Amino acid sequence: MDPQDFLNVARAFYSSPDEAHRRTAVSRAYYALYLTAHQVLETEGLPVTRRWGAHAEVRDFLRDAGDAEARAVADGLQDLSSDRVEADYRMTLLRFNSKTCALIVAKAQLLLATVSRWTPAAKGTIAANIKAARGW
Amino acid sequence: MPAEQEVLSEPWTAAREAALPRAPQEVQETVLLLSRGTFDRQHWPWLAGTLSHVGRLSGEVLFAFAGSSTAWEAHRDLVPGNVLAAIVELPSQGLHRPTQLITSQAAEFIRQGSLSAAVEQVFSVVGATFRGLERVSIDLVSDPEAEGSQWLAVTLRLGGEIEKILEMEQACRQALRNKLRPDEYQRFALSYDIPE
Repeated sequence: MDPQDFLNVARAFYSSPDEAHRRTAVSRAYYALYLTAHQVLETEGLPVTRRWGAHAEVRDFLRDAGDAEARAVADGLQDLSSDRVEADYRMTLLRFNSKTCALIVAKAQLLLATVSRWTPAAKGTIAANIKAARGW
Repeated sequence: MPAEQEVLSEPWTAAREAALPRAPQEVQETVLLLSRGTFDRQHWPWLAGTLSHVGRLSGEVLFAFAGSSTAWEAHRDLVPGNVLAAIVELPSQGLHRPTQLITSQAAEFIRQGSLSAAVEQVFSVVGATFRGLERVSIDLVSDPEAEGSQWLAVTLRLGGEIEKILEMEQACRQALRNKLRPDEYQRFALSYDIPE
């Protein structure tokens, strides 16, 4: 399955009158971006842990890439991860209305488009920079 | 009771209305504090004279202090643990500054991580880059699926078009990168509360 398909779920649900649907959209938007970034790193031979800490590790790898777009994706993952945790666990929050959720989904979509634009050569450079930054 | 900003809006309004008439004319800003249980004025001499007991909310005692932000900035690191949250705002006199709110959990995290200066920078940068900002609240978020994973969520309440907000976010991110150390920068996440 292509993790970007989760974005279709997010787009289908973000404006739902049902808050549970809108919160689900927030969660799916994050996972669409996270799993896509994870896939890129693994394909380029970077070993992302499959245990606790994997989400932070993907962000850390991207921050080490020495690339403005990769850094923007890392920042977006941080923001969307925070939204995802609040959407999934903090039932008292009232901010997950359709406008806020539309912004969150739009942000994920924008960043996914960035990752999708990366050519094989660009991905190779990103991976090489990460490995160099870590002395691998 | 957790210091969720959503449950505080009405008490804040009441506190503001109670505090402002007590403020000296030269005072342009109001500091409002929500405190659990008793409030020891001996430890807070800078509040003396203008501190007022406003009321109770679900067993918590609400106080308001009408004073200068200078006094508040000078003493905010001394806030005792029983204060749940504090905001600084301007009374409606044609001046505009977004309401700032820090929950008690976030305040404790900021103290432990020596992040007060970074938080001030965040308030300053988001205030300068986001047009139409109504409120900035900072809360601590913990990921229950990742042990020890905590960060400060900076939630911006503002209206406007999504595309414009995301453009302003890019400018904000750039400014934050320039102002904060990398280890500080990674402690913050930006989130939104867009009124419908």
